[in-house]
Amino acid sequence: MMRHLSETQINLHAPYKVTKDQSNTLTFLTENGVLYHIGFAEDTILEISNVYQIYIENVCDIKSIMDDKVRQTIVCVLEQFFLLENHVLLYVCDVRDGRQNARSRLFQKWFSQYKKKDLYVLKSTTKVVEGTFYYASILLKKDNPNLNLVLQEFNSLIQDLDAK
Amino acid sequence: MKKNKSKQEKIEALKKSIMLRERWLNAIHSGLNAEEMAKIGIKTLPIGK
Repeated sequence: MMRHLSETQINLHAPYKVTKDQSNTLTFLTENGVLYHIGFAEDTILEISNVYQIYIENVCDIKSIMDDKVRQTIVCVLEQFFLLENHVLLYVCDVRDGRQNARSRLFQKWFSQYKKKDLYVLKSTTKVVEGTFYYASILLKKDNPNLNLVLQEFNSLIQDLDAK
Repeated sequence: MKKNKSKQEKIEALKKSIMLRERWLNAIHSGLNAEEMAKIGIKTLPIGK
């Protein structure tokens, strides 16, 4: 079982060449000149090991036009991520520019288009914290031995936050 | 055994999760490497060749 992401393995299938740097961040440049950073950081919110938040950043903040190779490249990264033992992905949409709803819809659209989506479980929620809408999703493989525990903890968190 | 958290504790955990993005962004924009990020509590996923 792999213990880290492999730049080489990602580049076997990714349409855009990704490169890693010393901060464990992957970078790729699109043919439209948009530079992306992708990174993962461990998140302890569910108190379960191997839960990572993914960050996808348009570095120069250039408006990206429709480019399916971006989706394909991110999918290649995520497929490598899910080869790691029992890993769980947490995606909290960036709220800095107020476009978190659009990001959430795009994430759901990409997942619905993904050919191997039946191998995964995706659970999403919306929460208002101090007046700001947050969109969060959790994604993991159905064969993850912690599947039930992860979903239980995620659901419990949502329910408790909803409780008066 | 896992401690049952109060709602307030869960809100704080959620805020910490939300803040993690900002901290990660600030760290990479400051040029920190993975080891330096780990020292400030940001544990990144290792990436090999």
